[in-house]
Amino acid sequence: MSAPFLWLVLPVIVALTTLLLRYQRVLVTVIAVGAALFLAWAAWQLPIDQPLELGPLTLKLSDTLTVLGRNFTLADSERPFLALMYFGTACWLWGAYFARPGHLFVPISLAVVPLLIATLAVEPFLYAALMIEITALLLIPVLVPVGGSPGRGVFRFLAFQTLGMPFILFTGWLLAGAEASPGDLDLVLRAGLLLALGFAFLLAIFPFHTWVPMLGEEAHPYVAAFVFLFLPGVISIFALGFLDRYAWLRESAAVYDVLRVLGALMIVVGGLWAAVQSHLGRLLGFIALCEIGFSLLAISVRPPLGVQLFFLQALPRAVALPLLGLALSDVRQLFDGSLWLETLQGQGRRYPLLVGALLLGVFSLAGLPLLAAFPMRLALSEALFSLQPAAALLALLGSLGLVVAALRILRLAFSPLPAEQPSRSLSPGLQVDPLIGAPANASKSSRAHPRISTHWLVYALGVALLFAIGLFPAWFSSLLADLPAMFVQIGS
Amino acid sequence: MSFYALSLPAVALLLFSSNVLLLSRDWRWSIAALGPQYLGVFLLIAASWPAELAVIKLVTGWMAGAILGLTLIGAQQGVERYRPRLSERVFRLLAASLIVLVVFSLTTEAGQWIPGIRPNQLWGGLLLIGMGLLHLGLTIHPLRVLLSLLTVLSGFEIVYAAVEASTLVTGLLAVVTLAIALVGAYLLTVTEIEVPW
Repeated sequence: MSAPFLWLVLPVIVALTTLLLRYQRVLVTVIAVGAALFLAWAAWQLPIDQPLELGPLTLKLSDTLTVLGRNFTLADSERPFLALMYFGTACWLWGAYFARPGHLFVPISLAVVPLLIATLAVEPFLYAALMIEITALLLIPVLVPVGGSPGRGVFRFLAFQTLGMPFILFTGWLLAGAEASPGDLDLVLRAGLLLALGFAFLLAIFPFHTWVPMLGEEAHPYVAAFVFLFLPGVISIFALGFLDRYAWLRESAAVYDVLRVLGALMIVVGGLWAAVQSHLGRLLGFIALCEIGFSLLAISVRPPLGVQLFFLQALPRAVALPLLGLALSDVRQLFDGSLWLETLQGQGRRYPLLVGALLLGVFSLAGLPLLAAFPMRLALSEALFSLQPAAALLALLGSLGLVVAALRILRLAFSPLPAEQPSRSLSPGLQVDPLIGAPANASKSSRAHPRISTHWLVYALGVALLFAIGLFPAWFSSLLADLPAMFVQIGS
Repeated sequence: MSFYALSLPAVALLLFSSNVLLLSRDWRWSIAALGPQYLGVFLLIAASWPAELAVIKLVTGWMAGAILGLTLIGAQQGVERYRPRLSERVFRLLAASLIVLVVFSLTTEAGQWIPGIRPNQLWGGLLLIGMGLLHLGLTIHPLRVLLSLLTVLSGFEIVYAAVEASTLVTGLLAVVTLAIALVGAYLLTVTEIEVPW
């Protein structure tokens, strides 16, 4: 058996199985979470391309799978990445049980993750652009579930991902020439320009960022958060692969300068727009834009420090975005599909854990002390101040925008309930649980929102993780220590 | 037989079909315009590739058109309910003329970027890319967005065919074209699909 078969083909087979069973929510969740956990365990324990003795049997996972003459290669150095991807997927799929993003979410997300990993495994690497496009197309049915109405954001997402693909494909061809003759400045300049345009489309870099907040507004928040975490994350790693592969690219100071300017711009744009947002879905989108900006800023610090910072930035995001997605899913469900900020007026006392999770998620990504992103942002700021203080200050300004957004939620959530809406439509005689917001004295069958009451565990876990990463960053960052080894040139 | 001899009629076919796509408000005309468009794409790609490989583009494009056409029969979303004013048509025609001028003026410069490509292939490819982008910029209608994406993609395929003839890339690009049509069919009818128990 080959490693690509195990981590790329097997999950797709499981995804197809869950597609057939998609209306049996519990069974599908158990199968999908079980499969993702198994794959994470396998990535943690099973070496690639080395014999492994299992009693009388000797097993060897070869690192290459050949399809139509092209190779998919997963090296042993990529096992930490695989383990984290599948562990993260298991957590997302578990959260989906509570967030209810639609029957297709579990099968499609389980198919999307190996497809995204395949973008990093395929040789020649330019095929990755096609896989990213197929991933984007595959995500459409979860972004617009059956019975829903497609908005402009989905079409813009589709258009920008489709427009990005040709640039990357064409760059692949140009780069082959640039590699052969790095002295040809015209060729190098063309390749660099096309590459920048391609990634600008794929990574929603300003001014091609408009689909992100639009998608946040239109799509189910849990699905939107999934897209905002996985798609830019893997595309950024794909972009790092270009830096790793081409010496003329990674040794060019201009590349890092451009990345720094774009990163700072993204954070400022995202942060300032987030500060004035009245829609929580759009707020999620602007937070995602800030996160893309932080990734670019991290890469703009020269390797290998930049690569380490890049992976460190991903850790708080991987906790905060699903927490925000779940919290917003609950807000949507509690308030008849509305994600307008004013729906939270006075709800802080009624749903303290929900509002608390929402606030801590935003505060954490804003880089507030004691929370998950703070140590990572501090490390990034230190590195940036020595390189270009203006970029660090702009990043701080964007983060302040996120703080303002969180403070607006806080002020509104703990202000008095509006006069025309004295209470939520709970049945007479029911009292609200002061911790979780569910009716405390209701029988299981008569609870107004029985589902919400079971979420306290997820929220508590998420919030605890945000604090734990903030308080013990060294221990958590040691989990990511092996990830930069994926890149031979820039990783060490 | 050298297909390059047919490349000039193919460019004319692309010019005609992309203008029909841009100006027509009736989805039937728009879907029908995909037919000659993909025929032109096939003729231009066949100048670089073996005909049996290039025909994949023709079959895929026509299948994409068939998927969208079959979806729109009876669907309400694809039907545009307003008749465009004359000024709108004139504006679109002038914008299209501008694109044609830009494409023809860029061809010499762009030809230096892509050494293996022939002038008519470059004209056809850039024309479709330009017209598709113009169309994309002028519309928010779901069907039109999808048609313009297919147009841009087919223009790119003509240019890319001159530099890459890999079977896997051809197959994956065909998958992308069909997937755009299938996703489009889904998006055009998603509000009308009944949710099963």
